[in-house]
Amino acid sequence: MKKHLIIIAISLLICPIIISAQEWDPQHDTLDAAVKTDSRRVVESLGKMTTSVEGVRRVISPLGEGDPIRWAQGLPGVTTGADGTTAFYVRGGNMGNNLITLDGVPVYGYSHLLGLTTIVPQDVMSEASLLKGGFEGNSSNFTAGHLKITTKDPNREKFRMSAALNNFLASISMESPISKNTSFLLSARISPLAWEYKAVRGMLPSLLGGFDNFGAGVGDVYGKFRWQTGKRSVLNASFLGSMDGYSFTAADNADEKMGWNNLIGTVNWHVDGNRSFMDLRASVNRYTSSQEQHKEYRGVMNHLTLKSSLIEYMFSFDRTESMFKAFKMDYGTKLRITEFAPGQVASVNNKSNSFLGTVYLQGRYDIEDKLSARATVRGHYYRNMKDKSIKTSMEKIKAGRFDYDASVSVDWKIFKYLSLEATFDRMVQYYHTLEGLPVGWSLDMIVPSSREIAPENALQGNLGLSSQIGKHTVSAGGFYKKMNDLVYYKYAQSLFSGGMASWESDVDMGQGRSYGAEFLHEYVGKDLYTRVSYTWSKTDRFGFPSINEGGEFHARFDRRHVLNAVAQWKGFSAAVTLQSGHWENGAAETYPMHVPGAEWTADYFSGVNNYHMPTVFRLDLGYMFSFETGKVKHDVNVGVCNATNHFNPFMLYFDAVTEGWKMIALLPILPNFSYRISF
Amino acid sequence: MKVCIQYIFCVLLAMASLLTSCVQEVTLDAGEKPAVVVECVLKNSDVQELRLNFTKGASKDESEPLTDAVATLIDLTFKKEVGQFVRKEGDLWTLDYTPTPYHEYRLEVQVPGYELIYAEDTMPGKVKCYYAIQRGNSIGLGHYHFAFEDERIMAALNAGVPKRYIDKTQKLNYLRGSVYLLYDIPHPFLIYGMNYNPVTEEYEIVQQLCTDHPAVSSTTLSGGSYVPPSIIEELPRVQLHPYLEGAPLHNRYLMFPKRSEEIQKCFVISGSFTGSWDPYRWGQENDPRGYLVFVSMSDNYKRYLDEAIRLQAMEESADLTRIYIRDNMYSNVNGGVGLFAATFEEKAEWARLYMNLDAWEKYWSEYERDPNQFYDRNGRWYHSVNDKEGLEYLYESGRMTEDEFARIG
Repeated sequence: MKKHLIIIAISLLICPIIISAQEWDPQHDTLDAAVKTDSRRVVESLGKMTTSVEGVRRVISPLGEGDPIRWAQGLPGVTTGADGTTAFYVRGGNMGNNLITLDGVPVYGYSHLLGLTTIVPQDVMSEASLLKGGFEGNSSNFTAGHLKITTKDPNREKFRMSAALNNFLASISMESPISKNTSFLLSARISPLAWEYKAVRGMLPSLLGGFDNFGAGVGDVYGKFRWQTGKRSVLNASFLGSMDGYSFTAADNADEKMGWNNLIGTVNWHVDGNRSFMDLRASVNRYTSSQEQHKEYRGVMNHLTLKSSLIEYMFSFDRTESMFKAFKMDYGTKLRITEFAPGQVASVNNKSNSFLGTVYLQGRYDIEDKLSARATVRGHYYRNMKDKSIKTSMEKIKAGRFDYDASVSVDWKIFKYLSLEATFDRMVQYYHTLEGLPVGWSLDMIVPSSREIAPENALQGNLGLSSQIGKHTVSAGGFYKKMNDLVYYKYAQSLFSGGMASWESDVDMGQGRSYGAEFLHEYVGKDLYTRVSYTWSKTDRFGFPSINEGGEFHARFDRRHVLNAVAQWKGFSAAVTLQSGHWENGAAETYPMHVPGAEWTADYFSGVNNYHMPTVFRLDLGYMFSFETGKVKHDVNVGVCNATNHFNPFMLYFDAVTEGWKMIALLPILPNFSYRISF
Repeated sequence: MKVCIQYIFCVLLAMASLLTSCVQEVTLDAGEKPAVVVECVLKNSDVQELRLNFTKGASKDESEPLTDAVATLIDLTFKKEVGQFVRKEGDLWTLDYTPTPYHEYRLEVQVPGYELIYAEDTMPGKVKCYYAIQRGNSIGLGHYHFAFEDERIMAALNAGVPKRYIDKTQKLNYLRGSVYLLYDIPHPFLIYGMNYNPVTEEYEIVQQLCTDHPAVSSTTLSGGSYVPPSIIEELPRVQLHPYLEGAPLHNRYLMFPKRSEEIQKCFVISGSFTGSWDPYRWGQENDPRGYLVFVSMSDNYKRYLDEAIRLQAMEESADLTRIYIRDNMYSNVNGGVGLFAATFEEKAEWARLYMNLDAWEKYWSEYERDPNQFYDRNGRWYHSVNDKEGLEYLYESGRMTEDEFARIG
């Protein structure tokens, strides 16, 4: 594990030498009215928060530019995994209970660059929303939070191009009209990580110790083609390909490789009617991950190769109709056929296919400045083809299972300055993520529900008040969430484990509970913007037969207090994060035991997740400015992440050499400096 | 360019000092209230021992001593209190009492600040395992040393000590070393060996054992196999238990699962013993410093020992994944950890079984040429040529009655 940290550290060392910048494009703002008042304001409701790409960019990050997940990590109701990475948890759910979509298509391996960012380039992004409750009708197969990323439409007026360079990524993007009715958008990024390593290796070989043979292949390509097929119809075709691959030889001569890839192709046909609109979408989504390890331990060479893949074919139909003046009806369907191949080790065959069909019906009732209400019901039919060997059609249908879920949300403006908000959701999730290290790396296996592993489901309610007075917006509320059939992977800390091939015997199912209070204050002035979000919550797990004897224990990221504060004044930005430490497994207590002819020492584990890690504190500072030379615009970001160099350990690892435990933190004090040109 | 390189170099140096902050050693002491550890295995002896401890946190050098407790043993079968344990030195508490086989017992421990800690188990009876061992250069059943129940071992040995254990190369029949007989296994059964270490002047468990008994459990297999050592350097074919060659070696313990049906099986045991008794020497007593222990176990003890063996093997293995396994040892102690169990133990001698393979094989080829020459009219093995002389010797010396001689002869 230390080696992975060294990889990141190498990259961090080089940050000051490579610069990046950010592009300022006119945005096709599709935000709702509450958000349009200022692009920095995020409050739409307690359950849903939205930002433009500009808001995303102003998040200070090691890359010099933010991403949607880093933005979401600063919102109430959200806790983070490893400090500095893209791991995030919403209202007590697991990381794998979140859904991240790009234009409505799930992105399974969303992390990039060892979890430092996401695979969606900023150049193609239009806006991002985080939904924590009151989920929309066409959102399904998740139980915690939904991070919606929407791409922008290609520019239909003129050719635009931008290029950026930062310490981790070099990128280029262009967009242009092709004809009167067609246009395209293209973006590509590649990481110079391996070259940077060679530079450091040449200049400071002692710094790397025995760390050697580092190789990294990191990059992504996004393309979007837009065709205005008619006055009111548009056909969009897009693809996203990403690659993360790392290899190195560690100090103990252990050769390690890991990586993940995404390939997503989507075709979407959008038709506007007089009082309705419709979307037809088809997509293919392929996500693969692999790990290899050749490591000596106590004189024995351990070899492991582990590969996982998921291919999802999805077809969806969504339609919205305005029935009356204040009433709209949404309905649609989503069909998914998915081929799972998790944990392929040697001749182990874990392949299975699944079918998930969903239909939904949603009614919306809106009285402007008075009441906004929405009620949704979804029906699911799911079947894992591995479950039963069947012949007739009726047997096939019976081998599957029917579920339903529902969402209700009400936003009632009681007084001019005071609104009452309430949401209720029951959600069902059929794909499970066997969560490993909390670093947001897309190495966790995604496995389907089966007869042995039931779908996860969650019931949650949220009640809150919000008020907007002048430049201030305040909201406060409480939530309660109950999770059933949560999947717990017993060997989560074991990154490379041949045991993952037999994952079905290493997972346990139980329940979870989370409740808490969320508070958010925003001030939007002419030059000054501040946001303070605070969450108090308690999250636990229980009822896992083989864990803690079915008793209650802390969820790993049960952070009691989470405080995030952001202040932006002109080009200056400052962000503070203060979070309770998360929970790790404490070391065993020991006791003497006697067996015939010998005395041994036995381990006694009083529970799981019983060691409270230190509090997380991070101060990030940034400054951004722009200037123009002719038609070329230059954007410069400078900043410092973790300006106080606070040690924020996120996980533990067992040092096989010293046979002792160590805490790891990812981010020391880290200056960033990025540069972007656009014309 | 030069300035640029200097800049990079300076930054790298500055950042290098920060790298050390990325990893810190940690002692993962959860700081929780220690648990009470109860360890009491009732034995068929006059004094019962109990060990009471607190668990030790990861950051502490020693656990807190547990001195304030009241430990009571109750005979549930007779529904009466047997007595209270008295604290001796360290963590040891004792009670003068001999448990009765097949009685059910309950141990209650009261520790201030903790709820009542208790556990129950049943005292097993002994497993019918016998041994025969040759003493000196004598012959005949009467010269075997019989343990436990002489008649049964005699009958069993008459019924068939495997021929391979009998040295036919000498004038008389010799049972070389010690042979064991297991009749039935109503309780889980364990055999382990003890060696005396003259340097430390302490007994140490025999690390490797093997046997030819087919019912031995594979739980303790070490992965190695037995290579019979030569006893005399000049005579490499004189070996210790040569017929166990290739038998799988077991770490420390030979475990036998309980069986409902009766079995009758003679077997031998070898391994890394250091006992020095020489059966060729007339009249020499067996070396008491190397011996075997036969243990009849309650089911609780069997389960406890199985897990202990598994976890110990894992602890000693090179498999890194063991680090992440958080399985507690089996415990039947309510309100605490540890074990309350019962065993019935008996010591048994162990002696070396030498065999001169050169001589034996020569003899055996004779047998294969004409087996009948070694059997009497009743088909009994003793009537080899040499045996006849031996029997005559026994009869003439008065060690065998006339009836016996007539019956066998």
